[in-house]
Parts: sequence; C-alpha cells; structure tokens
Amino acid sequence: MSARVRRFVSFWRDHGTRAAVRLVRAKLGSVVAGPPAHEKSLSYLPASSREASGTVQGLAAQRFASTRPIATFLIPRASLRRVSLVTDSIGSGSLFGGVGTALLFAAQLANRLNATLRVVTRTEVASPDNASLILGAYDIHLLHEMQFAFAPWGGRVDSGGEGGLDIHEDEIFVTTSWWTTAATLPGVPHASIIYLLQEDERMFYPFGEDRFHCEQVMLNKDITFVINTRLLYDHLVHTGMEHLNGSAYCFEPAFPKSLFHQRAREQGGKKRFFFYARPHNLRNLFYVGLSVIDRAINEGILDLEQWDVYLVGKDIPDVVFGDGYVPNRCEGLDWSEYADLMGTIDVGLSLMYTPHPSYPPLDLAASGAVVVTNKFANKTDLSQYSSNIICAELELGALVEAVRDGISLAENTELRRRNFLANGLGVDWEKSFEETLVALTASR
Amino acid sequence: MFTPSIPPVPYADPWLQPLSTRLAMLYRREVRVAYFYEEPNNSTFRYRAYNMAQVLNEPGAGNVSASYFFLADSDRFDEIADAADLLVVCRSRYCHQVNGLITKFRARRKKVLFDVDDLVVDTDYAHLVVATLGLDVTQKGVWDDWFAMIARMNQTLRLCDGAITTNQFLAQKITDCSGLPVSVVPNFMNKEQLAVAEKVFAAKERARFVGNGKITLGYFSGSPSHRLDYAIVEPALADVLSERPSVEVMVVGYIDHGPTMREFGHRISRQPFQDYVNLQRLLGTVEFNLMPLQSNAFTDCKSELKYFEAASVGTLSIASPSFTYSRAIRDGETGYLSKAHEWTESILRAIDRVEAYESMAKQARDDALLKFGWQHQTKTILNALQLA
Repeated sequence: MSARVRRFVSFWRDHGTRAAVRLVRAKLGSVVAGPPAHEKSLSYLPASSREASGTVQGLAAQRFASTRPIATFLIPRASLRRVSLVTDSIGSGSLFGGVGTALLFAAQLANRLNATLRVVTRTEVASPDNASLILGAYDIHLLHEMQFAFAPWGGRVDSGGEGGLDIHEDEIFVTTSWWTTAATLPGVPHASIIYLLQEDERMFYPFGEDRFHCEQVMLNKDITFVINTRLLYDHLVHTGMEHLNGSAYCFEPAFPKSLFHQRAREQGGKKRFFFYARPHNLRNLFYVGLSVIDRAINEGILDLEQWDVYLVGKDIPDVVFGDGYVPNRCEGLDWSEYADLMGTIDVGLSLMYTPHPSYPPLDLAASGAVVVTNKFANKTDLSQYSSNIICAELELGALVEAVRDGISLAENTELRRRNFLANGLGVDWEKSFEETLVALTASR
Repeated sequence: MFTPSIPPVPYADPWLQPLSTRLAMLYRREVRVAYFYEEPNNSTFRYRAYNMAQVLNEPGAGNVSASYFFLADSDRFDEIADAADLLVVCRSRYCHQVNGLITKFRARRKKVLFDVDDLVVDTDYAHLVVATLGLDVTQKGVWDDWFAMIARMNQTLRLCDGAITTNQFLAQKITDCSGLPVSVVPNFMNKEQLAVAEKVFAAKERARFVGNGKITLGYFSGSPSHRLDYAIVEPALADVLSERPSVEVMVVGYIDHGPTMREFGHRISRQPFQDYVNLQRLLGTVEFNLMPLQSNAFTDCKSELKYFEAASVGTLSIASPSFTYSRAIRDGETGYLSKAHEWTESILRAIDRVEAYESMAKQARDDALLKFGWQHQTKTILNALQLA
C-alpha cells in the first residue's frame, strides 16, 4: 500500500467517512483548480476547523491553507528552554538541501542554548528516523531529548495531543519559509521567531497574491532573519529588503569532507557529465539545460565516446540526445547514494534562476568536480567557493561555451586538483553557524 | 522470547479487607498512620497507600503501624481520626468528605500530608496534561473534567501540612504551586510482586537467559492514554520488524497499532490488561521492555515503576530520557536510553548486544531491588512522615 493510501486510510479511521469524503472532494477540487506553487500537498481540513464557506475569512483560509495559524497554548516555563523548528516536512524527499540545513541550524541553536529541540511539521508527520539520519550524517549530537509535533494546516495538532501546540514563554521558533512564518506569527511573540531564509522566496511566484503575502512576511521588522549565503543577503538588501541591512545574519553552507569527497572510479571508464534535472522545479531551468547538453553533444564538445551523461533529479522524462543517445537517469537517491555519485562526477551542469548559488553546484565542487552554473543578478562569480565553478551568462551559447571550458578544465587534472585543494567552501557546519549563533544567543 | 515455566498466580486484590480488619491493622502499634484514598485501585492506591502500609507494618518500622481507608468508610472517620496520629491523603479530589476528614485530624492537632504521583495539582499544567493524554479537546466536558479534577486536587493539597511524592522534579512542581514542603518516597515493589519476580528471574537464570530464538519487544501500556507515547516508538518498531525477521512485538493493554504495523500483524501478539502480580510473569517473557514517553513537564513527573518492574524479572528496558528514567537507568549497564529520533538505532543496538544481556539483566535486577524493593523503603517513608 502506498504511503498516500495509508495516510488516507488513517485519516478515514480518525475522522470518519464524511470527513474522508470531504477530503476527496477537496483534493479533486485542487486538482481542477491547481494549487498555488507552495501548496503542492493539500492539507486535510477537518470541518470543525474551517471558516464558513463564502466569507472573506473562509475564502482566504481555503486559498492560503498553508498559512493558516498554528494554534498554540502557553504552558509554564520549563526547566529547559526549547527551540522549535517549523517546517512543512522532514520526509525523505525534502531532507537534504534547505530542510537539512534548517535542522542542522536548529539543532546547533538548541545545543548552544542548552535547550530541547522540537520539530513541528505541517504537511506530514515527522519521521524521527529522518531526523536521526541527517543529524548523524553531519555528526551532530543533541544535548537533550528531541520532540516532534504535527501541526497540519487544518489546525489539529497531534504531538502532543489535539489541544494545539504547547509553547513556553521563552521558546524560540525557527521558521523555514514565508508560509511557515506566516502560520507561526499569530500564535507566538514575534521576537521569538528566527526566519531562516534560504532563497528569495518572492521569486517563487508571478506578481500576484502569493507574492504579495510572501513580501509582507519578508518585510516584517519584528522577526530575526538568518540568510543562507552572503550573496542572497546582498541581493535582498538591494531589492527592497533594506530593513535586513545590518539586522539580518548570514552564513555560508558547509560541505563536510566525510560526505563530499572524490570517490574511486573504475580504471579506464568514461568520464561523467552530470545535469541537475528537476523539470517541476522551474528555477532549475530543466529544458534550458537539456538544450545546452544537446548542443554540446551535437557540436562535439561533449564527446560521447569519452563521456557518460547522468541526469540526476526527480520526475525526469524520457530524453534522447544527439543521434539517439540515452543518458543515465538517477532518481530517488538517498543522501549517501547522492554523495557517492557526486564523488564520481567530472563535470556538472546545474542551473538556478535565482541569486542563491543553490547546493548542487557546491556539492559538486566540494566533491572534486568542475561545475557550470548560470549568473543571476549579483551572482556573477562563485570563485570564492571554488575556482572549479564556472559561472556563465544565462544564454544558450554562453552556457555551451562554459561547458566547453568546464570539460577542458576537468581534463586538466593538475589545475582541477589545485583548484579543488584551494576551495573556499566550508567543511564544518558548526563553524558556518558560529558567528550567527554567537550573535543570536548573546541577546537571548 | 523467554519461556519461564511459571504458572499463573491466582489473584485477588489483597487490600479488599473489611473495615474492621483495616482498623485492627492500624491499632497494632503505638504510632499510627492512616492512608486515605477515594477508592482502592491497582495503580496509585497500590503504590502510594497499600505498599506504604505494608512496609510500615513490618518489624523494621519500630512502633509504627499503618492502614488505609476510603470514602466508603466515611461513617467511621471519627474513629479513624481518633486512632491515627497522622493522615496521608493520597491523590484525592476535594469534596465535603475529604475536607471533613482532614478537619477531624486538624481538630485533634494531628498532622495531615498529601501524597500524589502525577502532575495533577496545578491547573497551569491542565492544558498540557490534556494534550499529552491525547484527549479530544473539542469535547467541552474534557475541560470541565480536567480543570475541576486538578483544581480539586490542589484544594486538597492546600489543606495539608506538607506533601509526599515520587521524584524531585514533581516535588519542585508541587512546592511551586503550593509553597508546601515536599518529601520524596519513590514508587517501589511490594512483597507479592517481588515473590513472583523472584520465581521468574530464577527460571530465566536457570535457562542462562536463553529464549526460544525470537526476540520479543514488549510495550506494556497500562491505559489508552499512552497512545501518543506509543506513537513515538511505532515507526522504529516497523523498521526493526522489517530489518530483523527474528523480532516480534508484544503489546499489553489498550494500544491500537497504526497502519505501518499492519503488514507485521502475524508477528505482533496482544495481551489483555493484567493484574499487577501476573504482569510480572508476562514482563519476564520479553527481552526488551519499551518505555517511550513524550518529552514534557507532565511526563518528567512519571515514576520509575515501568523500569523496576521489568528489571526485577530480568528484562531490560529501553526508555526515553525523561527526568526519572534518565536517572534510574544507566545506559548500556542497566538498560538503554533512547532519544525520540534514535529508537531504531537504540533497539538494534540493544538486540545486537546479546552477549551483554545476562550480565545487564542481573545488574538491572540488583539495582531495582536495592532502590525499589519494599525492604529498603522504611527509613525513607518514616523520614517523609517525619516519624524517624
């Protein structure tokens, strides 16, 4: 039985047939109407927690389900403080990248404050094993017990119980998106929120309702912002988020050598070309990337006698390059399989149509590969991370030329090795967060 | 699974004695302690009144004797107040009869203490208690019931001169809300429990702790209110069952499995709620006793009883690091501690240390008997009663 079916059966058992029918209707409705970009999995909304249909509040609650306030209740001060991480999910599919970074940050903040860590998820019940996996992978040991709470968009909290999310007066909330921040704001002191911002989330949307609400949250001056990379910080400050100047903190991600390193390859095998292939994540410019690869093959830049092509990502359609070459497709890799593969790559192409460098180019560079990525706004040069990262204009010809340069650099093993050894990428998350954590905890 | 050949013990509640017998028990010696509980039961009453009286009536308590009384004895409260030198009101909700009984002792200038084993005396924690128990908060009666119950407990507490409880964490909470001095007497095992435990442990020792080849993980729930505690360990149970074909699960009590466990139905056995004596037999059959707890102030107040009941029959526990469990269990020596995100790893670690099982089980039993055997509680009880 699939996880989705199991969740449905469980919901049916908990809420009864009428609620299950309502859920199916809601799901079908969203299929027809199409959910907003950030609301890929519609939450179940028990009838009791819905606003009356037709009212302004009811319409808004339905349209922006993910921002529905998390019900909270205050309990007396505990002997230990608590840091609560509020995120959609820590499911296997979203564990690495931003969610993993958020978990590492919250865990280290909790340890720094001698506090308990709680993970509050909104779209699915948290898997403790996944938390264990990510903390274990980065060798983070929590000082105290970890707690989990499920606070779905529909309002019922099950951690916990069904009485809302218990909070302490001095609790700290690490939110991970504008919508988790919006959902947290109404139920906790605003100053207790640390919004871990890892992308210019305004760019998730066309100019419209979602972008408006997103911007409202990002303009909030009562909460503390911690921003993933200086690049993103600079971009935000220069694009309407002036309030972040001097008040927000930023950090550079880390790529521990235990995870990211070159792996042994079979002697005499072909070289490996990697493409970060996520057609449903529009910012990754899947079709642009395919065109770049196709042209590089057709122009003989990427010689298939010498190179194997790997498309790595999710929901990758059948693709044929050049005269019929079928690339290798890698989907659903767990973190160790992903890291193992990265350690065997010679050249990677990874596009990101936002100011953040994104993780795959940095994962690749940390693993010894040469990477081609695109420029965007103030993202014009990533050599501070690694001279093996080539940042090209976001234009087909420029990207193809960058692939040519990348292949040439990869084949110059000595220069590639020297660049790799001189990488400016951090290798220790503790150091990455140090400055931010010192500043954050000094006043708390 | 262990298969110690210990037959079921015929059981009847030993405290169901006529009032005359209980009064006679009180009159036996010069200094007399009356324990009061609303009506007897297998849990709090047994641990906090019956067991206490059992210890005090042993020769080691000198000139002290004790007995227990209930609301049903209210017609004879004057006689009880005349006979006893000290009243201990155990976890009783305020009502005219409870107030009346306390007033009778006060009128005779006799001390009254309150004994409680859960964080149910401070309404500031009522919402947390309701949430932790997973109660349906949409039922209006829930709020009336729980706030009334806790407020009534608090009112009874405030009528007393001091309190006794099961651990330091709860003691501090009681002091915080009442300002009263609080002593700690842990929960402990009585004679009947230990007699069965002794037999079970001896049988396992004779078999050198070799079972039937299956490893059984036991979850002994006690009540349906542990649903959310069980939910902490359930994903790990599914992982372990999937990874280790030799592992089975035994659930005792009222817990319902979630969907992830359905495919392992043939490897899960279910036992009905047990009386506390025969529960020892059942506990002795499993290799590991799982004690997951949500982490909060309410669960930090829970006592060590699940640990020592298992340890006394040579069964190792794997527990959440709550206030009491983390102090009672020495990780890797007398059991295992597991944070909420580490249960799979912890269970596998415990299973894989099979060579250490026998020595750990013996250490755990020695530890449990020394700290939680009735024979070692006299002084602690007398101190708490200020009779030492």
